[in-house]
Amino acid sequence: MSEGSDDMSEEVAAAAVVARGLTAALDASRGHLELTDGPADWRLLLEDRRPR
Amino acid sequence: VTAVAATAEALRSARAWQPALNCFVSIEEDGALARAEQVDASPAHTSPLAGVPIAFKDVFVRESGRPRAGSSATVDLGDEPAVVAQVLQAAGTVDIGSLHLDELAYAATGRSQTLGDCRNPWDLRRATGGSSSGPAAAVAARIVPVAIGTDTGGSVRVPAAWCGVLGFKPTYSAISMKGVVPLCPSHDTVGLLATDVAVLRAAYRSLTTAPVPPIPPSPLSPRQATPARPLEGMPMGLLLSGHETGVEDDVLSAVITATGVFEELGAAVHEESMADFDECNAAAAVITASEAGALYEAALHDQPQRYQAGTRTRLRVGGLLSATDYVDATRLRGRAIRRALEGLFSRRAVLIAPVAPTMPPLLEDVASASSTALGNETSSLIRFTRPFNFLGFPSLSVPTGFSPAGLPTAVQLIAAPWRDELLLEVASVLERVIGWSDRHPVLPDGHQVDVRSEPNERRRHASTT
Repeated sequence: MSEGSDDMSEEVAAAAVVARGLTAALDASRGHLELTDGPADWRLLLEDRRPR
Repeated sequence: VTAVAATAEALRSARAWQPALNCFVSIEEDGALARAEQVDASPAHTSPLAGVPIAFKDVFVRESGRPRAGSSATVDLGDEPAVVAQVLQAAGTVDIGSLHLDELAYAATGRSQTLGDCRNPWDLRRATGGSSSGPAAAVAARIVPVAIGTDTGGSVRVPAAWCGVLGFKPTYSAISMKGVVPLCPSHDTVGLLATDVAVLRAAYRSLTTAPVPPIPPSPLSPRQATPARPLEGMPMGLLLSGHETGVEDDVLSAVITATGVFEELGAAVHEESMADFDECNAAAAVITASEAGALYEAALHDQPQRYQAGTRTRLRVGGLLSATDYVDATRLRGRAIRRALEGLFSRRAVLIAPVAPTMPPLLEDVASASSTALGNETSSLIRFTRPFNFLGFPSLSVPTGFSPAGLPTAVQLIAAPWRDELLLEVASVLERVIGWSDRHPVLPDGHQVDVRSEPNERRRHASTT
């Protein structure tokens, strides 16, 4: 395996560690969600307050 | 002072500082002087920004060309100048060039393999912070009174704090992102860096899509303000308790000192905490990684070697997260905004917090752009700023003076959405008391650049000639 491939493998491994960490951090909060919490709510909450 | 004279001075200052700071990607002398001549020849320019030299982080499509975003990889946004560039040109500003950044604006250190490192004007051994490294350095060195950056997690506020200038991230979507290299479109915000509040306010008002003025009245605005106590009755919250771990003493000291000043000016400051502070950071990180990973997945596949190793690693993270992760993070976002509006920001008009947890570090102590550790370092640096990209609330880094070692200190002010003008007003009060813009960095050979004409003065002259 070339040196470049080794570097890439190291990067993929490092990215996987970060991704697992992010998922675990998110897991700590998912329990707070209710069925009615929608993925577009954030945008509506900001736009509703936009001065006209 | 004419636009040509102000521009010539900015260009001379840019040339003098560039070898020390490496803050410019390009200095566009001929185009800037030609533009300045047009401004001087056009008496129609009544904008307070007429004749003011400016510069852009290299993520904006400008009349003079496409941005490279600090990358060797191809970034293609077409040739139509960004809305921001068009509006500022119509206001009579003079664009003198493009500025340094972390690759794709996806780090917060100002270190770059592609461009070389950007250096802090207050101490050339130290980092500027990023990703708007060039804008912060150029404004701090008084090359331009205002520069345009972007802020996805702290990319305007962190370098502004480390370089001792104002750094403003307006409410999400208050300024058009059209023609700007994206990173995480649901967090990306055009931001402004400036030496003083007057020029910052003028630039913000020219760019925002919100109506200005009048400022919408708020029940939390001060009601009994007097010249001696201009913040009388304003409820402010101090966000520090429970979040001090890893915050350096000079940073803590600056926040506490600024809080004391606000109290002397009449504000009622109470300690506050955000129970979901860590949750905001965690969900924001998932959103940023997911959106950035999706946007650049094809480019990363086609030309991986053109990205710096640190960037490559972070771009790969998004592809390893699930759709459920991303959707849940966006669901948490709405929940967090609702809680902030109904809780913290129903009690407090303005929140006070640190910007970066550390003072500007020595470049040698910062992870290089080629390091896969850069992501962790960045996450730590932006933990006080990223939650407000996640919430979409306006946030401003304001200088508070200098540490005993002579490095700039700063405090972050945050308000509810669309209360951007309130932050500028509070900052202008602090500016009058502290007067940070009187002290200028000095070129390493000991010769201070002659930029003594204040931006306000320059602007006033420029607009009347």
